Amino acid sequence: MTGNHLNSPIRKFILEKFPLARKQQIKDSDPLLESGVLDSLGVLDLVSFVEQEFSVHVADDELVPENFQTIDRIAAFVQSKSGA
Amino acid sequence: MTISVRPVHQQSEHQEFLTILQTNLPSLPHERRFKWLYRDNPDGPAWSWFAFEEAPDNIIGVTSVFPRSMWIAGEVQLCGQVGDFAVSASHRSLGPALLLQRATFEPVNRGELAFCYDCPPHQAGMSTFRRLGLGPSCTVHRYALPLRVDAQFRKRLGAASVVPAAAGNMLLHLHRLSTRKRGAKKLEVSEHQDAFGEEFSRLDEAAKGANKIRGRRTAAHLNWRYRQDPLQQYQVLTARRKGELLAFAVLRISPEVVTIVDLCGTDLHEACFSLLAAIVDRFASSHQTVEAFLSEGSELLPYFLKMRFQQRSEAAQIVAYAKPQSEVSGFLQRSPIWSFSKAEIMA
Repeated sequence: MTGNHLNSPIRKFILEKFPLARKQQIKDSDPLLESGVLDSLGVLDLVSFVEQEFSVHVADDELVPENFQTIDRIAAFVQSKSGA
Repeated sequence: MTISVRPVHQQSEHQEFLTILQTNLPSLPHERRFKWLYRDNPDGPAWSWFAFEEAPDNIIGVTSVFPRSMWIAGEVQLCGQVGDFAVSASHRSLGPALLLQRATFEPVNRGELAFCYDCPPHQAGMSTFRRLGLGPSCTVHRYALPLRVDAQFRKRLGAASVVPAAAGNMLLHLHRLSTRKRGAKKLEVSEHQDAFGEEFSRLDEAAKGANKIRGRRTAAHLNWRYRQDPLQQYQVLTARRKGELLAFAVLRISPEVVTIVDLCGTDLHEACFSLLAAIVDRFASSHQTVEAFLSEGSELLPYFLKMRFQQRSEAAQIVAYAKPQSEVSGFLQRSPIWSFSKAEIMA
């Protein structure tokens, strides 16, 4: 999924919002949860961003690691939700 | 991969239970405290749930509710405190935490508990509640009274700290003397080394209050919490007038800090000042700080502030869940006084 046009705004948000992401210079395939870049509060902020930015609704049962593990996964998830 | 929640079967899954706790909350010796905390609580055994990935069965999170008998508007109700909440690092995507948090509402929705409450110590812990649309009912802050400045000065000045530390200690002493003049008449304060007897249960009932919420302090609860704890030892001070118990304080003593874990009683104007003065006298030469944890609405707070305890930091936010449209839910919405201390928030 690298190269997905959704990656860029998601990456920008994560780099701006989470200092650890900047410090670790994360790539789109790097794990965000295990590395501690995102915690549950971070996911909450990210979900708010995704819902506003891409006009999608994220259900509770979609808040699983498969969808939020990496920037690539987040972008793929948003794409599947929006049909972009 | 589908993630679900199920109750823990403690007999057949005990080892898995301890393993996930120890992996994700490594600072606590879970095996040593398990029987005491999960089984021997006089208010009843804990409920526990696993979050797990189906096929193959992979446990990725855990939480529990510990029954806690409370005073709610002068009535005794069984409530629950959420604790030992852990999700493995690879699954902190909020969804598993939401499932676990909802599971803790089950005993409330079944009518077995009047409400349950959680005490997230940091904002990250509030994320599930924000997602669920629940806000804090009250905030507990840490208050501290410096007794000495030796350790602080030593950290900053090293060997050159001796003279300024002595001067600082003298200033703190003089400061306390000026506070003491405002204190009330002293009661008989002494260390209580025996088990808690029924006079403590009677005191708890006398101090229940009409519009407040706080944990009960029956003799059975106090003995379990402070005398049978396998991990901690506590010192108990009582304040009495002509032998009659008016209040007590429970202290946890570490090398530099004395924590007032619990303080409860009647005639607080006299009793609280007497206990606090006694605590300061006991530890002024040996410890750096006395600290306490109090909710915004605690009736103890004015006395601590008069003794010049200062608010230092937020220790926990209390988030309560009651069954919608229940009597307790209605009471919680009418802004009752949450009289919480360390005793109500520690696991």
